[in-house]
Amino acid sequence: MTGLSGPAQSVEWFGDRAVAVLLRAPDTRQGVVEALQQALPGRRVRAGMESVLVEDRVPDASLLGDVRQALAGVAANTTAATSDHPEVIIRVRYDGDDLVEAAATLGLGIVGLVAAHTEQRWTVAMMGFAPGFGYLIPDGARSVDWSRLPRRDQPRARVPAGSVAVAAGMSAVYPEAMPGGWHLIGRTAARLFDPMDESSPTLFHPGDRVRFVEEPR
Amino acid sequence: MSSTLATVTGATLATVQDGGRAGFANVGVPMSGAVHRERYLVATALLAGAPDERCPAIEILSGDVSFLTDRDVLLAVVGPARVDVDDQRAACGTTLLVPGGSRVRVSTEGRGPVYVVVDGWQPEIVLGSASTDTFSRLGGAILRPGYRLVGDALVNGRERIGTFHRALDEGSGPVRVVSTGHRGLRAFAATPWTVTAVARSGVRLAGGPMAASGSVASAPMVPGAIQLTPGGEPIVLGPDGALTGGYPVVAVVATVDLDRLSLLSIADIVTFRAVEVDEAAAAWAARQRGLLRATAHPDQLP
Repeated sequence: MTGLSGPAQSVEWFGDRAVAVLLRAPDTRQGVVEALQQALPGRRVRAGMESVLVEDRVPDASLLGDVRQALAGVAANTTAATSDHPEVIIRVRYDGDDLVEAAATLGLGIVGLVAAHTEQRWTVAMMGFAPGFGYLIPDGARSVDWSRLPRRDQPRARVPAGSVAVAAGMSAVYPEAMPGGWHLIGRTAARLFDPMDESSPTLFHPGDRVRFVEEPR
Repeated sequence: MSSTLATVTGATLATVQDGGRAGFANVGVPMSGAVHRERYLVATALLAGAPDERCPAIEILSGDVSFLTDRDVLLAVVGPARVDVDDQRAACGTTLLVPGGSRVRVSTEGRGPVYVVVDGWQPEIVLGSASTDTFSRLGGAILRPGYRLVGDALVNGRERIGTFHRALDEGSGPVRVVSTGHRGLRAFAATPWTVTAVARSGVRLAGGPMAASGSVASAPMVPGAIQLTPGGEPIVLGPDGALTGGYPVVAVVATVDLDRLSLLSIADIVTFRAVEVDEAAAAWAARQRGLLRATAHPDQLP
């Protein structure tokens, strides 16, 4: 698409009440989300891995132009202020059913996998799949190529609530019992979703930094 | 004073819904809400005097719901249904006063969902909405025998008894979609698709020549997004559909035609037609004006 500078590679309609912004650089996602949310207070903005979606509640033919205009004020290398995103600590018992297999696939022993998972700094790239479910991506230096571990061939019909999992270069915590295809390496007692808390129902928010800490087995 | 208005004695596929749960999609909470928004809003207008997205309703997708009234209640049924009160036929699309101790049975007998609204009913509100998400089981309820409708009886008063709204026509022809810029849209829109599964989470289609496509980076999804899955069977997301997806989206159903997806049954043939956003938005605005006219009190009509 011509005429676009800044963080967007393209800006396209996604239905008649949403516009999808494809990013040049995925690590600008949270900065773009926050800049667009500030510039377009009546609309809702959500992050994807390599895109950002701006939504209206009703069809609105002016949305595309409004998003383009708002993007013009956003730097091509924008990032979110880390001071706005506290580090969330998740205490984990590393005793998941797939721990041995996951460690082997990554070329590590169990001790090595636990060390790598707890040393890694993670960021909530996006949320979805289920309420409170965050897609955590490695942040900064990494001692392991997490993407060497794909999703499981056979998804489980039921993954227990609190399961800590890794797959496809990411990590996650299952907020509730649900189907899932990631490798289970541990579990946490942390409560990731509280539907009765109207002001902040989830422990994670897009852009938050996350660190896992081992609890003795 | 809150009290039991009615107690469910039987239900097949019914949930509590309202206009939906807005504002939490960025932390993974789907919108949910009535799958046929217009029918639902007509039902709410029968009680509230105007469409009211906060009014709870029982959404019956198929089969029937039976309940026993614990006290006098004002209720209305909108959609293709047979309504029996103590084995007497009663009307749809109008406000009924049902005496306490009555056995009410609402049976679906046509296309798409049926909505039952009960005056004064106050189901559990979760994150600002009574809607039930059938995937995460958040909010409201999936109705089962013994479920009690609790609230304040007759808050809107008896003056609404006999209020009548005509249903709007459902529209016809291909379902209108907006392009996402995906190259497969021409082939998609040229194909008569067969419905192979229907649920609140979405509608699955089969029968096209669409090549199976790979996965893309996970991206935010919306109701009406048409995902091309690796097996070549497109999925049109519904109100309880996933908020994120890693499949290419060939197009997104225009808001004005979202209700029509809820009328589809397995084995139906459905076709799609691409429209510009201007046309989709104008069609939606016209439809909204029609809804407001259809639900206006006769005194308020110009």
